[in-house]
Amino acid sequence: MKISMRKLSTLCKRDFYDFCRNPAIFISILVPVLFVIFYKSLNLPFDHVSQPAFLLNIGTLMNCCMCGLLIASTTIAEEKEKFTLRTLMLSNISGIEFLISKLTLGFTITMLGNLIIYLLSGNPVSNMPGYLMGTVLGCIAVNLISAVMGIVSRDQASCSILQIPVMMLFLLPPMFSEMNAALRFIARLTPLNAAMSIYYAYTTEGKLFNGNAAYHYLVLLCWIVGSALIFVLVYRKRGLDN
Amino acid sequence: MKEMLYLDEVCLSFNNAFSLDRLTFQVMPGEIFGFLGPSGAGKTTTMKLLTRQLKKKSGIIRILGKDITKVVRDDYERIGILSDTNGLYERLSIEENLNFFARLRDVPKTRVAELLKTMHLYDQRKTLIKKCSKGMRQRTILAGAVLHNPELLFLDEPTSGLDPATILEVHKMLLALNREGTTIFLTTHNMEEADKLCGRIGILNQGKLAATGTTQELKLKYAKDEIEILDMDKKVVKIRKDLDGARHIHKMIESGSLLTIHSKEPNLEEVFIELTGREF
Repeated sequence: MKISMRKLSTLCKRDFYDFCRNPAIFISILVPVLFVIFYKSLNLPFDHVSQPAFLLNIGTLMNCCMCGLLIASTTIAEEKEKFTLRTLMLSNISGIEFLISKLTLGFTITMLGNLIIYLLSGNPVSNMPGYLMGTVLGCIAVNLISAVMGIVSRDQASCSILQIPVMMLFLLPPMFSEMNAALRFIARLTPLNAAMSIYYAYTTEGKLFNGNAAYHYLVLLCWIVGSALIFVLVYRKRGLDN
Repeated sequence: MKEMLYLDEVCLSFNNAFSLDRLTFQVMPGEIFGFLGPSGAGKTTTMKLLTRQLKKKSGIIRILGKDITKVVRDDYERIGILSDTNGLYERLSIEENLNFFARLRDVPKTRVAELLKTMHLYDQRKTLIKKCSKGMRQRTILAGAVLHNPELLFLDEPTSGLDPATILEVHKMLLALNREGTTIFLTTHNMEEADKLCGRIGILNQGKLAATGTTQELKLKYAKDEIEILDMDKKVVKIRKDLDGARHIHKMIESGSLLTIHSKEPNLEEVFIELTGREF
Protein backbone atom coordinates (compact mmCIF):
# COMPACT_ATOMS: atom_id res chain seq x y z
CA MET A 1 0.00 0.00 0.00
CA LYS A 2 1.61 3.20 -1.23
CA ILE A 3 0.42 6.58 0.03
CA SER A 4 1.56 9.75 -1.70
CA MET A 5 1.85 12.73 0.65
CA ARG A 6 1.41 15.16 -2.26
CA LYS A 7 -1.90 13.58 -3.24
CA LEU A 8 -3.01 13.24 0.37
CA SER A 9 -2.30 16.89 1.17
CA THR A 10 -4.07 17.97 -2.04
CA LEU A 11 -7.12 15.90 -1.10
CA CYS A 12 -7.11 17.23 2.47
CA LYS A 13 -6.79 20.86 1.32
CA ARG A 14 -9.70 20.42 -1.06
CA ASP A 15 -11.80 18.71 1.63
CA PHE A 16 -11.24 21.54 4.13
CA TYR A 17 -11.90 24.17 1.49
CA ASP A 18 -15.09 22.42 0.42
CA PHE A 19 -16.16 21.99 4.06
CA CYS A 20 -15.99 25.75 4.59
CA ARG A 21 -18.17 26.30 1.52
CA ASN A 22 -20.76 23.66 2.40
CA PRO A 23 -23.34 25.18 4.73
CA ALA A 24 -25.15 21.86 5.25
CA ILE A 25 -22.03 20.37 6.86
CA PHE A 26 -20.50 23.52 8.25
CA ILE A 27 -23.54 23.99 10.46
CA SER A 28 -22.70 20.72 12.22
CA ILE A 29 -19.81 22.46 14.00
CA LEU A 30 -21.79 25.62 14.71
CA VAL A 31 -24.85 24.03 16.35
CA PRO A 32 -23.09 22.51 19.42
CA VAL A 33 -20.94 25.61 19.90
CA LEU A 34 -23.93 27.94 19.63
CA PHE A 35 -25.86 25.65 21.96
CA VAL A 36 -23.15 25.98 24.62
CA ILE A 37 -22.98 29.76 24.20
CA PHE A 38 -26.77 30.05 24.40
CA TYR A 39 -27.09 27.77 27.43
CA LYS A 40 -24.29 29.57 29.22
CA SER A 41 -25.93 32.94 28.64
CA LEU A 42 -29.16 31.69 30.25
CA ASN A 43 -27.26 31.05 33.50
CA LEU A 44 -29.79 28.46 34.70
CA PRO A 45 -29.46 26.91 38.19
CA PHE A 46 -28.19 23.29 38.24
CA ASP A 47 -29.14 20.93 41.06
CA HIS A 48 -26.68 18.06 40.83
CA VAL A 49 -23.82 19.11 38.58
CA SER A 50 -21.92 22.31 38.01
CA GLN A 51 -22.78 24.40 34.98
CA PRO A 52 -19.35 23.95 33.32
CA ALA A 53 -19.56 20.17 33.70
CA PHE A 54 -23.09 20.08 32.30
CA LEU A 55 -22.20 22.31 29.34
CA LEU A 56 -19.09 20.31 28.59
CA ASN A 57 -20.93 17.01 28.73
CA ILE A 58 -23.84 18.00 26.53
CA GLY A 59 -21.69 20.11 24.17
CA THR A 60 -19.15 17.35 23.62
CA LEU A 61 -21.82 14.70 23.08
CA MET A 62 -23.60 16.89 20.53
CA ASN A 63 -20.40 17.86 18.78
CA CYS A 64 -19.02 14.32 18.53
CA CYS A 65 -22.36 13.06 17.26
CA MET A 66 -22.96 15.88 14.80
CA CYS A 67 -19.44 16.46 13.49
CA GLY A 68 -17.91 13.07 14.16
CA LEU A 69 -20.73 11.03 12.71
CA LEU A 70 -21.85 13.39 9.96
CA ILE A 71 -18.76 14.80 8.27
CA ALA A 72 -16.93 11.72 6.97
CA SER A 73 -20.10 9.79 6.06
CA THR A 74 -21.87 12.69 4.34
CA THR A 75 -18.84 13.80 2.37
CA ILE A 76 -18.09 10.24 1.19
CA ALA A 77 -21.75 9.76 0.23
CA GLU A 78 -21.78 13.10 -1.60
CA GLU A 79 -18.70 12.16 -3.61
CA LYS A 80 -20.41 8.92 -4.61
CA GLU A 81 -23.66 10.66 -5.52
CA LYS A 82 -21.98 13.31 -7.65
CA PHE A 83 -19.49 10.91 -9.27
CA THR A 84 -16.47 12.86 -8.09
CA LEU A 85 -15.31 9.75 -6.26
CA ARG A 86 -15.33 7.84 -9.54
CA THR A 87 -13.34 10.61 -11.19
CA LEU A 88 -10.75 10.31 -8.42
CA MET A 89 -10.70 6.52 -8.65
CA LEU A 90 -10.19 6.77 -12.41
CA SER A 91 -7.28 9.11 -11.93
CA ASN A 92 -4.41 8.09 -9.73
CA ILE A 93 -5.95 8.19 -6.25
CA SER A 94 -6.15 5.09 -4.13
CA GLY A 95 -9.12 4.32 -1.91
CA ILE A 96 -6.94 4.55 1.18
CA GLU A 97 -5.68 8.05 0.29
CA PHE A 98 -9.27 9.15 -0.21
CA LEU A 99 -10.44 7.65 3.09
CA ILE A 100 -7.52 9.05 5.11
CA SER A 101 -8.35 12.50 3.77
CA LYS A 102 -12.01 12.14 4.79
CA LEU A 103 -11.09 10.81 8.25
CA THR A 104 -8.59 13.64 8.72
CA LEU A 105 -11.28 16.18 7.91
CA GLY A 106 -13.85 14.60 10.25
CA PHE A 107 -11.36 14.12 13.08
CA THR A 108 -9.86 17.63 12.87
CA ILE A 109 -13.20 19.42 12.72
CA THR A 110 -14.63 17.35 15.58
CA MET A 111 -11.59 17.97 17.78
CA LEU A 112 -11.62 21.66 16.93
CA GLY A 113 -15.27 21.81 18.02
CA ASN A 114 -14.45 19.91 21.21
CA LEU A 115 -11.67 22.36 22.08
CA ILE A 116 -13.91 25.38 21.49
CA ILE A 117 -16.62 23.80 23.64
CA TYR A 118 -14.14 23.03 26.40
CA LEU A 119 -12.89 26.60 26.47
CA LEU A 120 -16.42 28.03 26.35
CA SER A 121 -17.77 25.73 29.05
CA GLY A 122 -15.51 27.25 31.69
CA ASN A 123 -13.82 24.07 32.91
CA PRO A 124 -10.27 24.45 34.27
CA VAL A 125 -7.52 24.21 31.67
CA SER A 126 -5.60 21.92 34.04
CA ASN A 127 -8.13 19.16 33.25
CA MET A 128 -7.54 19.47 29.52
CA PRO A 129 -5.23 16.40 29.20
CA GLY A 130 -7.97 14.09 30.45
CA TYR A 131 -10.49 15.70 28.13
CA LEU A 132 -8.15 15.46 25.15
CA MET A 133 -7.33 11.82 25.86
CA GLY A 134 -10.99 10.84 26.14
CA THR A 135 -12.24 12.82 23.17
CA VAL A 136 -9.35 11.89 20.84
CA LEU A 137 -10.13 8.20 21.38
CA GLY A 138 -13.88 8.83 21.15
CA CYS A 139 -13.43 10.83 17.94
CA ILE A 140 -11.35 8.08 16.34
CA ALA A 141 -14.14 5.59 17.07
CA VAL A 142 -17.02 7.76 15.81
CA ASN A 143 -15.11 8.84 12.69
CA LEU A 144 -14.38 5.24 11.76
CA ILE A 145 -18.07 4.41 12.22
CA SER A 146 -18.93 7.45 10.14
CA ALA A 147 -16.60 6.29 7.34
CA VAL A 148 -18.27 2.85 7.37
CA MET A 149 -21.67 4.52 6.97
CA GLY A 150 -20.31 6.53 4.05
CA ILE A 151 -18.89 3.44 2.37
CA VAL A 152 -22.12 1.43 2.61
CA SER A 153 -24.36 4.30 1.45
CA ARG A 154 -25.16 4.90 -2.20
CA ASP A 155 -25.95 8.58 -1.78
CA GLN A 156 -26.58 11.27 0.83
CA ALA A 157 -30.23 10.29 1.31
CA SER A 158 -29.43 6.65 2.10
CA CYS A 159 -26.59 7.85 4.34
CA SER A 160 -28.92 9.97 6.44
CA ILE A 161 -31.10 6.89 7.06
CA LEU A 162 -28.10 5.32 8.79
CA GLN A 163 -26.87 8.48 10.50
CA ILE A 164 -30.00 9.28 12.50
CA PRO A 165 -30.35 6.02 14.50
CA VAL A 166 -26.59 5.82 15.18
CA MET A 167 -26.60 9.42 16.32
CA MET A 168 -29.57 8.76 18.62
CA LEU A 169 -27.85 5.69 20.04
CA PHE A 170 -24.65 7.57 20.84
CA LEU A 171 -26.29 10.77 22.04
CA LEU A 172 -29.42 9.95 24.03
CA PRO A 173 -28.34 7.19 26.47
CA PRO A 174 -25.34 9.17 27.83
CA MET A 175 -27.48 12.33 28.05
CA PHE A 176 -30.32 10.69 29.95
CA SER A 177 -28.41 7.94 31.73
CA GLU A 178 -29.51 9.25 35.14
CA MET A 179 -33.16 8.65 34.30
CA ASN A 180 -33.24 4.85 34.54
CA ALA A 181 -31.06 1.77 34.86
CA ALA A 182 -31.58 0.53 31.30
CA LEU A 183 -30.32 3.79 29.82
CA ARG A 184 -27.44 3.76 32.27
CA PHE A 185 -26.49 0.27 31.15
CA ILE A 186 -26.64 1.21 27.45
CA ALA A 187 -24.73 4.43 28.11
CA ARG A 188 -21.87 2.51 29.74
CA LEU A 189 -21.37 0.71 26.42
CA THR A 190 -21.30 3.76 24.16
CA PRO A 191 -18.00 5.31 23.04
CA LEU A 192 -18.86 8.91 23.90
CA ASN A 193 -19.94 8.06 27.42
CA ALA A 194 -16.61 6.26 27.80
CA ALA A 195 -14.76 9.29 26.43
CA MET A 196 -16.39 11.62 28.95
CA SER A 197 -15.89 9.11 31.78
CA ILE A 198 -12.14 9.12 31.09
CA TYR A 199 -12.25 12.88 31.52
CA TYR A 200 -14.23 12.65 34.78
CA ALA A 201 -11.82 10.05 36.12
CA TYR A 202 -8.94 12.41 35.31
CA THR A 203 -10.62 15.30 37.14
CA THR A 204 -10.90 13.20 40.32
CA GLU A 205 -7.67 11.16 40.13
CA GLY A 206 -5.42 13.63 38.30
CA LYS A 207 -3.90 10.82 36.23
CA LEU A 208 -4.66 9.71 32.67
CA PHE A 209 -4.47 6.03 33.47
CA ASN A 210 -6.19 5.06 36.66
CA GLY A 211 -8.39 2.30 37.99
CA ASN A 212 -11.62 4.26 37.54
CA ALA A 213 -10.91 4.80 33.85
CA ALA A 214 -9.75 1.28 32.97
CA TYR A 215 -13.24 0.03 32.05
CA HIS A 216 -13.86 3.08 29.85
CA TYR A 217 -10.53 2.64 28.05
CA LEU A 218 -11.56 -0.93 27.38
CA VAL A 219 -14.94 0.17 25.98
CA LEU A 220 -13.24 2.69 23.69
CA LEU A 221 -10.63 0.19 22.61
CA CYS A 222 -13.39 -2.28 21.70
CA TRP A 223 -15.19 0.40 19.67
CA ILE A 224 -12.01 1.47 17.86
CA VAL A 225 -10.87 -2.08 17.07
CA GLY A 226 -14.40 -3.19 16.20
CA SER A 227 -15.14 -0.24 13.93
CA ALA A 228 -11.70 -0.52 12.29
CA LEU A 229 -12.36 -4.20 11.56
CA ILE A 230 -15.81 -3.47 10.13
CA PHE A 231 -14.26 -0.63 8.14
CA VAL A 232 -11.62 -2.94 6.61
CA LEU A 233 -14.15 -5.73 5.95
CA VAL A 234 -16.68 -3.41 4.30
CA TYR A 235 -13.97 -1.69 2.28
CA ARG A 236 -12.58 -5.01 1.06
CA LYS A 237 -15.99 -6.39 0.21
CA ARG A 238 -17.61 -3.37 -1.37
CA GLY A 239 -14.73 -1.08 -2.27
CA LEU A 240 -15.54 2.58 -2.26
CA ASP A 241 -17.62 3.10 -5.33
CA ASN A 242 -21.22 2.04 -5.90
CA MET B 1 5.23 -2.42 -31.69
CA LYS B 2 3.12 -3.29 -28.65
CA GLU B 3 -0.59 -2.61 -28.78
CA MET B 4 -1.88 0.12 -26.49
CA LEU B 5 -5.12 -1.80 -26.21
CA TYR B 6 -5.60 -5.47 -26.91
CA LEU B 7 -8.85 -7.38 -26.55
CA ASP B 8 -9.19 -11.04 -27.39
CA GLU B 9 -12.51 -12.89 -27.15
CA VAL B 10 -13.65 -10.68 -24.29
CA CYS B 11 -17.05 -11.52 -22.85
CA LEU B 12 -19.13 -9.83 -20.22
CA SER B 13 -22.53 -10.93 -19.03
CA PHE B 14 -25.17 -9.62 -16.68
CA ASN B 15 -27.79 -12.06 -15.35
CA ASN B 16 -26.57 -14.79 -17.73
CA ALA B 17 -27.26 -12.61 -20.80
CA PHE B 18 -24.26 -11.54 -22.85
CA SER B 19 -23.69 -7.85 -22.71
CA LEU B 20 -20.44 -8.07 -24.66
CA ASP B 21 -19.83 -11.09 -26.80
CA ARG B 22 -16.32 -12.16 -27.85
CA LEU B 23 -14.92 -8.70 -28.50
CA THR B 24 -11.63 -8.84 -30.35
CA PHE B 25 -9.73 -5.79 -31.55
CA GLN B 26 -6.48 -3.92 -31.04
CA VAL B 27 -5.51 -0.28 -30.89
CA MET B 28 -1.96 0.54 -31.89
CA PRO B 29 0.19 3.39 -30.50
CA GLY B 30 -0.60 6.74 -32.08
CA GLU B 31 -3.97 5.66 -33.39
CA ILE B 32 -7.36 7.31 -32.92
CA PHE B 33 -9.75 4.40 -32.72
CA GLY B 34 -13.46 5.18 -32.94
CA PHE B 35 -15.96 2.89 -31.29
CA LEU B 36 -19.38 3.36 -32.84
CA GLY B 37 -22.71 1.78 -32.18
CA PRO B 38 -26.35 2.53 -31.55
CA SER B 39 -27.62 3.27 -28.03
CA GLY B 40 -27.45 0.17 -25.86
CA ALA B 41 -24.93 -1.58 -28.13
CA GLY B 42 -22.38 -1.80 -25.32
CA LYS B 43 -20.01 1.10 -26.04
CA THR B 44 -20.07 2.51 -22.53
CA THR B 45 -19.92 -1.00 -21.07
CA THR B 46 -16.76 -1.62 -23.12
CA MET B 47 -15.35 1.67 -21.88
CA LYS B 48 -16.10 0.68 -18.28
CA LEU B 49 -14.47 -2.68 -18.85
CA LEU B 50 -11.34 -1.07 -20.27
CA THR B 51 -11.14 1.42 -17.42
CA ARG B 52 -11.63 -1.33 -14.82
CA GLN B 53 -15.02 -0.16 -13.63
CA LEU B 54 -16.36 -3.59 -14.62
CA LYS B 55 -14.74 -7.02 -14.63
CA LYS B 56 -14.72 -9.23 -17.71
CA LYS B 57 -16.21 -12.69 -17.62
CA SER B 58 -13.63 -14.20 -19.95
CA GLY B 59 -11.03 -13.29 -22.55
CA ILE B 60 -7.84 -11.25 -22.48
CA ILE B 61 -7.53 -7.50 -22.09
CA ARG B 62 -4.16 -5.77 -22.22
CA ILE B 63 -3.70 -2.05 -21.61
CA LEU B 64 -0.35 -0.35 -22.31
CA GLY B 65 1.01 -3.83 -22.97
CA LYS B 66 -0.01 -5.09 -19.51
CA ASP B 67 -2.69 -7.55 -18.56
CA ILE B 68 -5.60 -5.52 -17.17
CA THR B 69 -5.47 -7.42 -13.87
CA LYS B 70 -1.88 -6.24 -13.42
CA VAL B 71 -2.54 -2.57 -14.14
CA VAL B 72 -1.57 -0.63 -11.01
CA ARG B 73 -2.44 2.85 -9.81
CA ASP B 74 0.78 4.32 -11.22
CA ASP B 75 -0.32 3.22 -14.70
CA TYR B 76 -3.23 5.64 -14.35
CA GLU B 77 -0.64 8.43 -14.61
CA ARG B 78 -0.33 7.39 -18.27
CA ILE B 79 -4.07 7.16 -18.90
CA GLY B 80 -6.74 9.83 -19.25
CA ILE B 81 -10.42 9.01 -18.96
CA LEU B 82 -13.52 10.93 -19.86
CA SER B 83 -16.59 8.85 -19.15
CA ASP B 84 -20.28 9.55 -18.72
CA THR B 85 -19.80 9.33 -14.97
CA ASN B 86 -17.04 11.88 -14.53
CA GLY B 87 -17.92 14.37 -11.83
CA LEU B 88 -16.76 17.81 -10.81
CA TYR B 89 -16.81 19.55 -7.45
CA GLU B 90 -19.86 21.78 -7.58
CA ARG B 91 -18.75 24.25 -4.92
CA LEU B 92 -15.43 24.87 -6.65
CA SER B 93 -14.90 26.99 -9.74
CA ILE B 94 -13.77 25.66 -13.11
CA GLU B 95 -10.22 26.80 -12.43
CA GLU B 96 -10.19 25.40 -8.87
CA ASN B 97 -11.38 22.03 -10.14
CA LEU B 98 -8.66 21.92 -12.78
CA ASN B 99 -6.00 23.15 -10.35
CA PHE B 100 -7.05 20.40 -7.94
CA PHE B 101 -6.66 17.69 -10.58
CA ALA B 102 -3.42 19.30 -11.76
CA ARG B 103 -1.95 19.10 -8.24
CA LEU B 104 -3.03 15.47 -7.94
CA ARG B 105 -1.27 14.72 -11.22
CA ASP B 106 1.70 16.99 -10.45
CA VAL B 107 1.02 19.11 -13.53
CA PRO B 108 2.10 22.81 -13.57
CA LYS B 109 -0.56 25.53 -13.37
CA THR B 110 0.55 26.90 -16.73
CA ARG B 111 -0.95 23.81 -18.36
CA VAL B 112 -4.28 24.61 -16.67
CA ALA B 113 -4.24 28.13 -18.10
CA GLU B 114 -3.34 26.74 -21.53
CA LEU B 115 -6.26 24.29 -21.47
CA LEU B 116 -8.68 26.92 -20.17
CA LYS B 117 -7.84 28.98 -23.25
CA THR B 118 -8.08 26.01 -25.64
CA MET B 119 -11.48 25.06 -24.24
CA HIS B 120 -12.74 28.65 -24.35
CA LEU B 121 -13.17 28.61 -20.59
CA TYR B 122 -10.61 31.21 -19.61
CA ASP B 123 -13.07 34.09 -19.23
CA GLN B 124 -15.43 31.95 -17.15
CA ARG B 125 -12.72 30.25 -15.11
CA LYS B 126 -14.00 31.71 -11.82
CA THR B 127 -17.55 30.39 -12.36
CA LEU B 128 -18.65 27.78 -9.85
CA ILE B 129 -19.38 24.40 -11.43
CA LYS B 130 -22.93 24.41 -10.04
CA LYS B 131 -23.59 27.51 -12.14
CA CYS B 132 -22.04 26.12 -15.34
CA SER B 133 -23.96 24.97 -18.40
CA LYS B 134 -23.70 21.35 -19.59
CA GLY B 135 -21.26 22.39 -22.31
CA MET B 136 -18.99 24.20 -19.85
CA ARG B 137 -18.97 21.18 -17.54
CA GLN B 138 -18.18 18.86 -20.45
CA ARG B 139 -15.28 21.07 -21.54
CA THR B 140 -13.97 21.19 -17.96
CA ILE B 141 -14.14 17.40 -17.67
CA LEU B 142 -12.38 17.04 -21.00
CA ALA B 143 -9.67 19.47 -19.89
CA GLY B 144 -9.26 17.42 -16.71
CA ALA B 145 -8.86 14.22 -18.70
CA VAL B 146 -6.05 15.60 -20.88
CA LEU B 147 -4.26 17.73 -18.26
CA HIS B 148 -1.34 15.34 -17.94
CA ASN B 149 -0.86 14.62 -21.67
CA PRO B 150 -1.76 10.95 -21.28
CA GLU B 151 -0.31 8.23 -23.48
CA LEU B 152 -3.71 6.60 -23.77
CA LEU B 153 -6.92 8.56 -23.69
CA PHE B 154 -10.40 7.06 -23.28
CA LEU B 155 -13.16 9.38 -24.40
CA ASP B 156 -16.82 8.50 -24.05
CA GLU B 157 -18.86 10.88 -26.23
CA PRO B 158 -16.44 13.77 -25.72
CA THR B 159 -18.35 16.37 -27.70
CA SER B 160 -21.90 15.63 -26.60
CA GLY B 161 -23.63 18.81 -25.51
CA LEU B 162 -21.05 21.12 -27.08
CA ASP B 163 -21.71 23.86 -29.60
CA PRO B 164 -20.22 23.53 -33.12
CA ALA B 165 -17.44 26.07 -32.53
CA THR B 166 -16.25 24.28 -29.39
CA ILE B 167 -16.54 20.90 -31.10
CA LEU B 168 -14.17 22.23 -33.74
CA GLU B 169 -11.72 23.39 -31.06
CA VAL B 170 -11.98 20.05 -29.22
CA HIS B 171 -11.29 18.21 -32.47
CA LYS B 172 -8.24 20.39 -33.09
CA MET B 173 -7.02 19.71 -29.58
CA LEU B 174 -7.52 15.96 -29.89
CA LEU B 175 -5.69 15.89 -33.22
CA ALA B 176 -2.86 17.92 -31.68
CA LEU B 177 -2.66 15.52 -28.73
CA ASN B 178 -2.64 12.63 -31.15
CA ARG B 179 0.17 14.22 -33.17
CA GLU B 180 2.15 14.46 -29.93
CA GLY B 181 1.74 10.72 -29.51
CA THR B 182 -1.45 10.21 -27.50
CA THR B 183 -3.42 7.15 -28.52
CA ILE B 184 -7.15 7.82 -28.37
CA PHE B 185 -10.00 5.39 -27.88
CA LEU B 186 -13.18 7.26 -28.63
CA THR B 187 -16.84 6.34 -28.51
CA THR B 188 -19.19 8.57 -30.42
CA HIS B 189 -22.58 8.80 -32.05
CA ASN B 190 -21.33 11.50 -34.33
CA MET B 191 -20.38 9.94 -37.67
CA GLU B 192 -18.86 13.15 -38.94
CA GLU B 193 -16.64 13.23 -35.87
CA ALA B 194 -15.59 9.62 -36.35
CA ASP B 195 -14.86 10.24 -40.01
CA LYS B 196 -12.82 13.34 -39.26
CA LEU B 197 -10.81 12.05 -36.30
CA CYS B 198 -10.51 8.30 -36.47
CA GLY B 199 -7.97 6.35 -38.42
CA ARG B 200 -9.78 3.12 -37.69
CA ILE B 201 -13.18 2.38 -36.30
CA GLY B 202 -15.06 -0.53 -34.81
CA ILE B 203 -18.83 -0.81 -35.08
CA LEU B 204 -20.55 -2.49 -32.18
CA ASN B 205 -24.04 -3.90 -32.46
CA GLN B 206 -25.87 -5.70 -29.65
CA GLY B 207 -22.64 -6.42 -27.83
CA LYS B 208 -20.87 -7.87 -30.87
CA LEU B 209 -18.28 -6.22 -33.02
CA ALA B 210 -19.92 -6.00 -36.44
CA ALA B 211 -16.87 -4.62 -38.27
CA THR B 212 -13.48 -3.02 -37.80
CA GLY B 213 -11.23 -1.25 -40.26
CA THR B 214 -10.22 2.11 -41.58
CA THR B 215 -13.10 4.42 -42.37
CA GLN B 216 -12.19 4.19 -46.06
CA GLU B 217 -12.20 0.39 -46.04
CA LEU B 218 -15.57 0.22 -44.34
CA LYS B 219 -17.11 2.79 -46.64
CA LEU B 220 -15.97 0.91 -49.69
CA LYS B 221 -17.07 -2.42 -48.30
CA TYR B 222 -20.46 -1.55 -46.85
CA ALA B 223 -21.68 1.69 -48.38
CA LYS B 224 -24.31 1.50 -51.12
CA ASP B 225 -22.66 1.71 -54.51
CA GLU B 226 -25.00 4.24 -56.06
CA ILE B 227 -25.05 7.32 -58.17
CA GLU B 228 -27.70 10.00 -58.22
CA ILE B 229 -29.34 11.16 -61.41
CA LEU B 230 -31.56 14.17 -61.85
CA ASP B 231 -33.89 13.88 -64.84
CA MET B 232 -35.59 16.61 -66.85
CA ASP B 233 -38.62 16.47 -64.53
CA LYS B 234 -36.23 17.31 -61.60
CA LYS B 235 -36.79 13.86 -60.18
CA VAL B 236 -33.87 12.25 -58.31
CA VAL B 237 -33.19 8.65 -59.33
CA LYS B 238 -30.66 6.44 -57.53
CA ILE B 239 -28.91 3.94 -59.77
CA ARG B 240 -26.45 1.22 -58.83
CA LYS B 241 -22.97 1.37 -60.30
CA ASP B 242 -23.26 -1.79 -62.39
CA LEU B 243 -23.99 -2.79 -65.98
CA ASP B 244 -27.76 -2.32 -65.61
CA GLY B 245 -27.17 1.11 -64.19
CA ALA B 246 -24.87 2.00 -67.07
CA ARG B 247 -27.53 0.86 -69.60
CA HIS B 248 -30.13 2.98 -67.81
CA ILE B 249 -27.92 6.06 -68.00
CA HIS B 250 -27.16 5.35 -71.63
CA LYS B 251 -30.89 5.23 -72.41
CA MET B 252 -31.49 8.50 -70.57
CA ILE B 253 -28.71 10.24 -72.49
CA GLU B 254 -30.10 8.96 -75.76
CA SER B 255 -33.60 10.13 -74.90
CA GLY B 256 -32.26 13.46 -73.65
CA SER B 257 -33.96 13.05 -70.28
CA LEU B 258 -30.76 13.29 -68.23
CA LEU B 259 -30.19 16.62 -66.51
CA THR B 260 -27.34 15.97 -64.03
CA ILE B 261 -25.36 12.98 -62.79
CA HIS B 262 -23.57 12.82 -59.43
CA SER B 263 -21.31 10.18 -58.09
CA LYS B 264 -22.41 9.55 -54.50
CA GLU B 265 -19.55 9.40 -51.98
CA PRO B 266 -20.10 6.57 -49.54
CA ASN B 267 -20.32 7.75 -45.93
CA LEU B 268 -20.06 6.23 -42.46
CA GLU B 269 -23.71 6.87 -41.78
CA GLU B 270 -24.64 4.38 -44.50
CA VAL B 271 -22.09 1.88 -43.21
CA PHE B 272 -23.53 2.25 -39.74
CA ILE B 273 -27.13 1.72 -40.87
CA GLU B 274 -26.10 -1.18 -43.09
CA LEU B 275 -24.33 -2.94 -40.22
CA THR B 276 -26.66 -2.20 -37.35
CA GLY B 277 -29.97 -1.94 -39.13
CA ARG B 278 -30.65 1.11 -37.03
CA GLU B 279 -30.37 4.83 -37.45
CA PHE B 280 -28.58 6.60 -34.65
